[in-house]
Amino acid sequence: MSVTFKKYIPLGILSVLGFYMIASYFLAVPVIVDSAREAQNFSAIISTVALGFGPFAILRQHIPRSRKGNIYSIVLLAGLIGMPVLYLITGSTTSLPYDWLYRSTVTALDPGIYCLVAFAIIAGCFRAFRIRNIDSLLVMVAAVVLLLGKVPIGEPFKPLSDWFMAVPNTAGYRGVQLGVGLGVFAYTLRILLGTERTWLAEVGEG
Amino acid sequence: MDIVKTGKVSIFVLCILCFAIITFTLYLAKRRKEPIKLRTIAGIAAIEEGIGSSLERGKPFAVDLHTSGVTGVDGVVALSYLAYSAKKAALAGCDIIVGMGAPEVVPIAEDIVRTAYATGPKPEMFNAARMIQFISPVQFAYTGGWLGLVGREKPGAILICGSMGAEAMIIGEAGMMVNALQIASASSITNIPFFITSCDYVIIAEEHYVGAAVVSGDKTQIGCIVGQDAWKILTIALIVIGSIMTTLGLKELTNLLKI
Repeated sequence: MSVTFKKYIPLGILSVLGFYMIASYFLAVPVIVDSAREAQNFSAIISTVALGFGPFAILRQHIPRSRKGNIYSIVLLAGLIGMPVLYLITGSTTSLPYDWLYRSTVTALDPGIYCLVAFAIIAGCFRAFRIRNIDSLLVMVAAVVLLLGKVPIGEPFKPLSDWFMAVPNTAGYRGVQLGVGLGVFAYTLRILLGTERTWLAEVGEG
Repeated sequence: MDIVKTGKVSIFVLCILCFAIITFTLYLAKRRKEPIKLRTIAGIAAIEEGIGSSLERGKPFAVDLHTSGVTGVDGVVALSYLAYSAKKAALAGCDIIVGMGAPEVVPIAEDIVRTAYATGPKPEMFNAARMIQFISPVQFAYTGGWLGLVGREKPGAILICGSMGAEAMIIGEAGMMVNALQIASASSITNIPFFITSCDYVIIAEEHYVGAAVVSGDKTQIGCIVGQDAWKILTIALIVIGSIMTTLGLKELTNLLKI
């Protein structure tokens, strides 16, 4: 396939549709608004079709071979094949074996992994709150005031804690959001104008 | 009949203005003979350092694209970083492992890494089954998978560049536990503090998008950053003027922005 078909035509379609969708957000022209809604429906259809290829990609990647972590691939493949088979046998997603298997694996493991956040935060706090210079001292003081302001014993610190959240924290947050907003706008513009092509593996020397 | 939707006229005008400024700076940058010099972003420079360090220690370089798909800007930015890292890793002859959770990213990431190795000195190093690791699109399932991958492969350096939520701290700690040099690129204010505590380098907020232009090495794209800065100065001026006018009880600017 030539570069024109593989790269430039898709980039052209992306550019036209991108500007069209932006126009549909601002303009009150019924033709543009309606056709943009239709285009979004097409996006959902394409995503659904793409989803059909997913299991094949997973099979290709996880079919056991001599590498580390084969056992995890076997567990994944058992789930990928076992769950639809169980559904075909029982004919329902609310049947006891199907529901039990889902609840005792996915539902149990999800909060299990989430719980690790607590341990990770403690380890992170230990490093972040170690006083090495004036900056880390300020971080430490602010953190202690904030923590005290959130518990009944630290009631006197509540006004200062609230001030930290409402003034310096909000100021920093808005500054970051402003930069991010502009960054997203400029990046999107670069993509739509076709100048940004690093995501298509066109990388310079940096 | 109004052509522009009510309540969006002022935003529309400002967007057109921003578009014009950025496009104009792109044009100027294209015409300019000397490339515009930008300050070095430590996190970007550290990617090469990380690849070098991984190579010295005989370990792979890992890239975490997380569950970001290509429907969001962050996911596309992450692919830019992947392209840069893959190219540098391929040139150095370093092994790379890419973790991802969005199914549609798998063929794109594979193509990026394959292209990088194909143009590098050791094209035979490319191994899709090992280098491209689809984990899961589910937040904590991905986190568990990434913890396992980092624990098994023990990468020498990790680049974290996908958008994430509460699991950011676990992802950061996973690399800390295997003594990997960690570089994170995050635009979300909720992720930045977590990465600062667990990573060696953090590409923060706006730098996340600017970095994508910097890694391209393209002077036109770098010119875009100048336009972005000019627009930021105008925005700050608008905020200051608006604050002063509102303090003085003048509502003209506020009303103008509501049109």
